Amino acid sequence: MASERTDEELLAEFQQGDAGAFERLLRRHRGPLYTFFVRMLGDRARAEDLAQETFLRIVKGSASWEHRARFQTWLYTIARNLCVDASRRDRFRRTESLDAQEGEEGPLVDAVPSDGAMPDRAAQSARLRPLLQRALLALPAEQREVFVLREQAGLPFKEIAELVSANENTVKSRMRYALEGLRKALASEGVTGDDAEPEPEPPPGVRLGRA
Amino acid sequence: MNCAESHDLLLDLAYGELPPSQATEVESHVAGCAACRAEKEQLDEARRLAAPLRELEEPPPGFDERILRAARAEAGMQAEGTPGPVVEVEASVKPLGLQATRLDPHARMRRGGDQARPRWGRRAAIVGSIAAAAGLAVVVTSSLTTRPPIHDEVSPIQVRAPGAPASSAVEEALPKQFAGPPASNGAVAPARRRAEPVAQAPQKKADGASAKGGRAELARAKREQDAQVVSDHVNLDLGERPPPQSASSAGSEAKIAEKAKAVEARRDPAPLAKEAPPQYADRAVASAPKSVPAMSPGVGGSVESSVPRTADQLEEEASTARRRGDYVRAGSLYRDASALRKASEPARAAWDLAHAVECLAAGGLIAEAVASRKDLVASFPDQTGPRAAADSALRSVPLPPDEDKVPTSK
Repeated sequence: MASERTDEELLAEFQQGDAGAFERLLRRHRGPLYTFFVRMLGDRARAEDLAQETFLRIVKGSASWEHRARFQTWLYTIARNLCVDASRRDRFRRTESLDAQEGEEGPLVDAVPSDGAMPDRAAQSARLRPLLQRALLALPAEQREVFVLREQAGLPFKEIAELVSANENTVKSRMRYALEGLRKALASEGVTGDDAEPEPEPPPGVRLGRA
Repeated sequence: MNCAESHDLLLDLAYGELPPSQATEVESHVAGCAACRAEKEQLDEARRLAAPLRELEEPPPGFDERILRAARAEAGMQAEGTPGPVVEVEASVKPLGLQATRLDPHARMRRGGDQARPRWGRRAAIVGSIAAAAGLAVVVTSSLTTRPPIHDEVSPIQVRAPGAPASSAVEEALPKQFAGPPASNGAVAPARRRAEPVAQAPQKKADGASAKGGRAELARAKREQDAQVVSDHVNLDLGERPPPQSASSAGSEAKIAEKAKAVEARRDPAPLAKEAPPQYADRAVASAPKSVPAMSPGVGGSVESSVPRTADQLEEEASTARRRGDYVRAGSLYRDASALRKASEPARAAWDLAHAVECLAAGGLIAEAVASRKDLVASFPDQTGPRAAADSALRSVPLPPDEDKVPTSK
């Protein structure tokens, strides 16, 4: 890990003309970023488009990037703005997207993998994910984005606050509402904490996408 | 710690955002407080439930392709990793700002080995950062992004040029670049020369594609493809941008010819005019107020010296020019203002000169900026504020340790 170059170092190398450095950045962030859009939009095709668009904007803007700024914050600022634009553009399509999502992943009950060899936990996760995704999409967008940026992108509340132009307490309130909203949505489907994974992921300092 | 404080920090605790000492404090409060414990348990439960959402989704196959193509184009690399030729034309008459950085494809091989990046490449980045530091409106775009349909021929060569021609600078800069990475001031030097007015620039219009080797054609095709990739995407997010300007004005034709000349000179010892895609700068020129002179004196001398003006007036004009983005003119005006009030108001004169440094640097006239800074240091040795500002504007330029010396190479 110590020898691993930081995002910022890689971007600086890309600024110097090393396309390989960008490739490493891409590999590091493509999964998390794509997942960010999937969670936010509930639509894989659009998630792919927008995640690509985000990286293309990074490419284009890389020359003006300054080393002071954290790369990940920049990345998700762009991503979040694209989400905002997308949701403005087709507010009406959202319910369609939800349907598409359900069609894609199958109805909740049928989403249980038939593969008996699947470990319990993974099976449970696969069973719950479509339910969670729908509950997430049902949350107000400002709660959803805070939730996804914190839970999935791993940004600290302070950075999220900057990114969404709200103060930190507001961001944390949204986070509480989001968590509570998800918990209630699952409870209404008969899923409680007992069905959930045994322990939360170890959060401290772990940034997704450093693989 | 009371319940209210604990409540505020429970989320931070759950996400590991608290420093250890504070985490311990919250935990010990929670241990002895039923209400907070209940709240924490609820949070933890919700997080457990939501865990499946943390799992990464894998982007579909082929996801990376166009991104990497764009990245290679941006890095000025051909897919096969050979360096694309780059020509830099100095002596800008208009702000390069970030455009300069964007226009610089840094057509270099991967770093490492003895392929050191030439200094002029670094300088473009400097120009960009200066413009950014100056808080000026900047447009991020690329030569790759502005391929207008009117040019059926896209040059295989990335031209890194400011918005207006400077033929003498081109001629002077080119041999140095052929000779390899220039010495520290090698490429800066041409900027000292006064750029020729647009109207006097050679009107060599492109005379069509000349026969090139098959390999060159292939390389070009690849670059075009890459450029198109970027172009496609730019159109998406800059929908409000005006459509590409046609090369209707003499100015832009001259520019094209100038770039083309540079292009050919770079690739071929026997120069042959060839059309190059206009840079974004063309567009900026076209949209600039028509009353603004296209060129302003690059070095020394006051602008429009026939009309005597006070230092205040000059400063005002400079400020206007700066806001408009005409950094070179602004720099020149600031310098004149400084000279006028040097004796009467040394503090303001020093600041004027510092602004001159900032503007000249932002305008791409690094050598002049450096010279003005030297002047500042020599004339106003006790004005540390302006000097710091000037140094900041030139912070990425290697300055001579000895203030008395004119910056020379090495």
